[in-house]
Amino acid sequence: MKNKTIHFFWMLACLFLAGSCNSFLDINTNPNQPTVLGAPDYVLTGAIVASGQIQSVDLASFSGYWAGYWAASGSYSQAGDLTRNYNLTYNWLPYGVNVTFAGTEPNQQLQVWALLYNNASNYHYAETLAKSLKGYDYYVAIAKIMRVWCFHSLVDVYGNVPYSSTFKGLGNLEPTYDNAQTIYQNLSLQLDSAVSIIQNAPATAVAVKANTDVIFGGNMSSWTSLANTMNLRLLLRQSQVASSQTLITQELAKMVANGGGFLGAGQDALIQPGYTKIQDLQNPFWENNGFSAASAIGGRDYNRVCNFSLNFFVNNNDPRADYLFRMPGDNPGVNSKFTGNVGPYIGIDFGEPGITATETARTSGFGIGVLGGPSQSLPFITAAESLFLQAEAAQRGWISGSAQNFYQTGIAESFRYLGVPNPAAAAATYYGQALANVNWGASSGNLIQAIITQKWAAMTSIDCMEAWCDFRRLGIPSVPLSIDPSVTSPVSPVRVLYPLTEYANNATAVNAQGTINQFTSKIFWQN
Amino acid sequence: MVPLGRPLADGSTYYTTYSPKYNDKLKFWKTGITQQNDASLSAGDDKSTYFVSFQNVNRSGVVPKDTYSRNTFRFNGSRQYGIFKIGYRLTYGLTHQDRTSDAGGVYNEWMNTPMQVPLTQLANWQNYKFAGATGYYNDFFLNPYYDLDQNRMVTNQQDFLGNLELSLQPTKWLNLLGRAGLNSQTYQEQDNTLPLLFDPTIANVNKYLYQNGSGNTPPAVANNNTNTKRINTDFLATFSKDFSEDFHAKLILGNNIFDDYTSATNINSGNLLYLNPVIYNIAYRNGNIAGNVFEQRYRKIGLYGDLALTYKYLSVHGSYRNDWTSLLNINNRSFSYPEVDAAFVFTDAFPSLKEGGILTFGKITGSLAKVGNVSLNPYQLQNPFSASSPYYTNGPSPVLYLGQSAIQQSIKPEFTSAKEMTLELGFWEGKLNFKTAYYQTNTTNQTVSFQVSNSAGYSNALINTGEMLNRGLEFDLNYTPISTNSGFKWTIGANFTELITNTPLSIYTGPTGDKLNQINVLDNGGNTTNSWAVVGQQYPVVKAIDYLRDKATGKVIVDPVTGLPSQDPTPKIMGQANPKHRLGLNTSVSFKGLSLSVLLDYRSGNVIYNQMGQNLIFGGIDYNSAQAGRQRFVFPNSVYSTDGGHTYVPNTNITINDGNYNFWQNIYYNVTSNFVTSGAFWKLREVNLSYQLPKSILGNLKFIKAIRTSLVGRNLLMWRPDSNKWTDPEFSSDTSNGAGTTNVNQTPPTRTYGFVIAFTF
Repeated sequence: MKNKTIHFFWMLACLFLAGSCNSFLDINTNPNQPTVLGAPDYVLTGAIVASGQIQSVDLASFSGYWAGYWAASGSYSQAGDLTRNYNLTYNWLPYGVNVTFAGTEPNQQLQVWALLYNNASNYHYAETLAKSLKGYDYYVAIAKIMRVWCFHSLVDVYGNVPYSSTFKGLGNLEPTYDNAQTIYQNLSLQLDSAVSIIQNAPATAVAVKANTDVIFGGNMSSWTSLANTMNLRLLLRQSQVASSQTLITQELAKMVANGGGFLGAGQDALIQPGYTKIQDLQNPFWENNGFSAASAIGGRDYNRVCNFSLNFFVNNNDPRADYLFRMPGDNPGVNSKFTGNVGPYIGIDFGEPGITATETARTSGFGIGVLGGPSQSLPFITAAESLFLQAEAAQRGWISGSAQNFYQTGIAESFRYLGVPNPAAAAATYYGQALANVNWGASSGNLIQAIITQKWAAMTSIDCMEAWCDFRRLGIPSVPLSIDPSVTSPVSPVRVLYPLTEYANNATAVNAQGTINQFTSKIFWQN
Repeated sequence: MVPLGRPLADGSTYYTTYSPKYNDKLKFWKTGITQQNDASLSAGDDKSTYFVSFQNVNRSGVVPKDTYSRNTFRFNGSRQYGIFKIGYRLTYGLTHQDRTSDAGGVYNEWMNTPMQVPLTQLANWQNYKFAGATGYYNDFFLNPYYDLDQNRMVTNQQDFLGNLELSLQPTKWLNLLGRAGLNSQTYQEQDNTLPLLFDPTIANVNKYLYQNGSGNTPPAVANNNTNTKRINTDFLATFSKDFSEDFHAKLILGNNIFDDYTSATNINSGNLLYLNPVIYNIAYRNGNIAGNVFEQRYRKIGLYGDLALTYKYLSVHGSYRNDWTSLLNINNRSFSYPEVDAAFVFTDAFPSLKEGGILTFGKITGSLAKVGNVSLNPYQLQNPFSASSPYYTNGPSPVLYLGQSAIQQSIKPEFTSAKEMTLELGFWEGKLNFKTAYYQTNTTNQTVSFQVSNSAGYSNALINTGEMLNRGLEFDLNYTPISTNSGFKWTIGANFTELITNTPLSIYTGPTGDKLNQINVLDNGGNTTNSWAVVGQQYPVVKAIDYLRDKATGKVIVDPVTGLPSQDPTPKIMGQANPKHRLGLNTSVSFKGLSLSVLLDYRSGNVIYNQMGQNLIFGGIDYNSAQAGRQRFVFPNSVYSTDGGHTYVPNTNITINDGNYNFWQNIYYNVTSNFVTSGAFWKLREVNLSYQLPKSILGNLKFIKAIRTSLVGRNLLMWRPDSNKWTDPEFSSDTSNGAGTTNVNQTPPTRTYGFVIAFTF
């Protein structure tokens, strides 16, 4: 009886709904946001754009200081800026970052750890999706190459990090840490594999859409060169590591064999998704160091020019100074030098406490070559860097070719990138001066030092992380310690501490790495 | 007189005395006033009833300029036609609010106001040079009065509730009832932001805010329109039968269908034109419009049966319910849960117990209940791609980002199984009443979102957790020492609740068998002090970052050179967030129409994270940061090691190398255990004095039947332990997983006084 009654009411309920009850309840598909994608394009583009932002803003926010390029404006209370006294905490976030990472909670500034893993997980997704689709070989290769960038950056900042057990979601919520050298080894293999995928792709492979590939517009031979260039970067990082020499030899041979070459003169890898003067669409370096889309400064002048960097250019009669720096009082994107302001450029010693002389209005900001405007392309790997990598490799006898030639072309490429008129001639005049670390012949006593010094000059405010890595590897150039009175260490940091989120959410794995000290716990490739 | 802030470009400087101005700081906040006027009319005869009412509420907030008003109209009625009965209820409400959209910012600016500042003299920011954005003394913070005007949120809400009920009583023992309810809500919100403009003729070029902090910012506007439609239908069949004078039975069979639909449109521009006055319309802007639309729907069906049997002193009741929800995957969509309870009045069963007149009432109740629940939002089982900002969607390259949640697709409903026993005793005909209850609940499949390592590819995970055990005891005692025929009555009462345990027994086992024994259930805005679920610990438990300590002695390790302590990166358990002991005491005295009642509350056994303490440290205005006079000092109870951590010796003479920023802001601030304190308190919760005018006075006024007046005060006094220098621990930022945290995004705790006068005609 009771069953019948229930059945009756159930019938009544379903009649009322005029349809089956399951279809009445099948309404839990999100109509507002995409939850499945048919192609990796949008995610791949988003990830490349994010990588550009992480490199130019978030990684630079500390490496820009520790590589000797930047100092903080005296217009600010720098009391909480631990970058300048090296007393890092586990929840340390560098100052002077105004942009937030697209795709995360608004106003939530994240540590580079979270940014890089988040970024890598997007590449991981794009690669996985591309692999499941027929003919998306090129997409697989691009995602692989860019994912290598994320992980080598993670290793360069943190050393041992989770790698082989990452991105499994609920399948593994506590990924263990892999040895940094093993990761590096695998990253080289990933790059080889990416080159091989490109070179062996079937003729029917789907071409990468020009607006998906916001670096090379779908030109896959450029991606091959980029993969080889990145691989050369990884190998050179390990120049001081005896146990990596076998890998280096093998990898160099593979690069010769694949014939993809390196990025050459004029072949800058630039990110350009359509940056424009609209909120959230600006070039992130401009968004962070120039103006907001609504033309507000709003803290974007925190990063100023460091004397160590400024003096190198000014003392060596380097015309790039006019493109790397601007006169005190100039707005971003302007250098009044070109309209008759005789200057001089004024820098700040890193760590100088906030005093009147170091305030924004009295000191130099970044110049028009690196901070041109809201729609400027973002440098990912410049031709100049590639040439200096080749110069060092040639000097070490790793690759064929003239180290001097690579070196001088590298300088000329840096001149060209920054917008110096008649770059080749101007560069020749510059490196023609009989100055050590400028002129090849005048540097004959230590050519590696000259190459790395000029590479450092060419990376100014462009790829600060690369310069900080060279400094930690070779001690070149001799970046001075912060003069902040609260500095207690005789050396600058060799790394960054693992973030608190790991100690909280992945405690067993991170604690297995032992106690980490930012002055002594070196990355494996450090001397 | 001392200067306050930098001199302005015109050479003028603001001066004030270097003495604390307590009243200025207090007077910034207003006394919130709520005025409520009610009028109602009810009428009826044996066939029909009518009820009409109007309510008007006007409220001004504690935050200056906050206003709220609500007007509600109600019209209810019923009519009987033989065996049919029809009933209806209509409610229409209009709510208008105008308040700051940056209460946390205002609170923070107010907190960061040094004591010598005559804040109330700086209210007129529009016309007074030293109060405006340019001339305000503070380099880093805006004038809170300016902030109040800069960020306004105006909302208008219309609520319509309609309820129609049809019932049919064909026989004495059967009643059939159908009910349909509609709740329709229209919500409009507009957020206006004034431009921030610095006046270059008076600006000191070194002022941080002028030069850098925000610079000039354009006006902004955001509009949000949300419509909600909720339909709730019920069908009930009630069978009741009195088999004899002592035996009653009642069976209810019911069906409920619930449908909830929300749609919203948001548009905003952060870059309106600098018009004077500003036109808050996105049509007048530079750059792009940002915005999104959103809709969501949720449905639930329920079927249930409920049987109650009563025989004299024994009653037994049982129910069974099945729910179907749209929120879960098809395999987990349907779930059912039963309940049984029984009550036995043993003083009726054994009247001999009442002999002697001491024990006059005794009842024992037991229940076993299981309740199923789904705590998910619509679509939460999917991890959507985001295009969080308009990132290049208007440029050549569209972009999307992977969602950040790892979601267990097989999420099931959560079930709570409760066992409870209650004993009620009455003595001397109710002069003394005692009640005690013991309960145990086991919760399984609780749906929880928690933080995970970014290296897992996500920032949080959503899962069904294992099992949670909750046990508690409750006591309630009421005593009436005096009750005279002349109308004098005095009662006292006490209730005590002891949370014996509330502990996760298991949390999560991954597909490879790896177990998670603790999860971080609250992302406290990126902060490092969070609520956790930890196996074997009370839930939620507060974990914080502590100093690195010597394991043997528990003393803080300092650097032998700098004298500075350092962070231990592993979060440490500080204590449970929910009070373990709760005690309430009440008493009331009444004489004829006059009555006075007092309620006291006590809570203890829990901790609270006072995030506000961090804001105060940041501003350098915390009690603790001033204790050492900003001078160097030996860190109390510290040890140091000169042999790389093998042995530690007590530190008696190494002072910290900086008694200023580098200790207080860079170290103390980040060690959040400094801000976790006992959450205990005693409170004078409520005092109520009311008076009902005697009929004799009203005798001549035929149209007034009664007049009652009362005075009520809430949250009048509070006593806290010395360690909690900050605020009322009950002002938790959140009642769910956020229990255990207070922050500044809340207005200050308030004390309430009320006056009521009610006329009955």
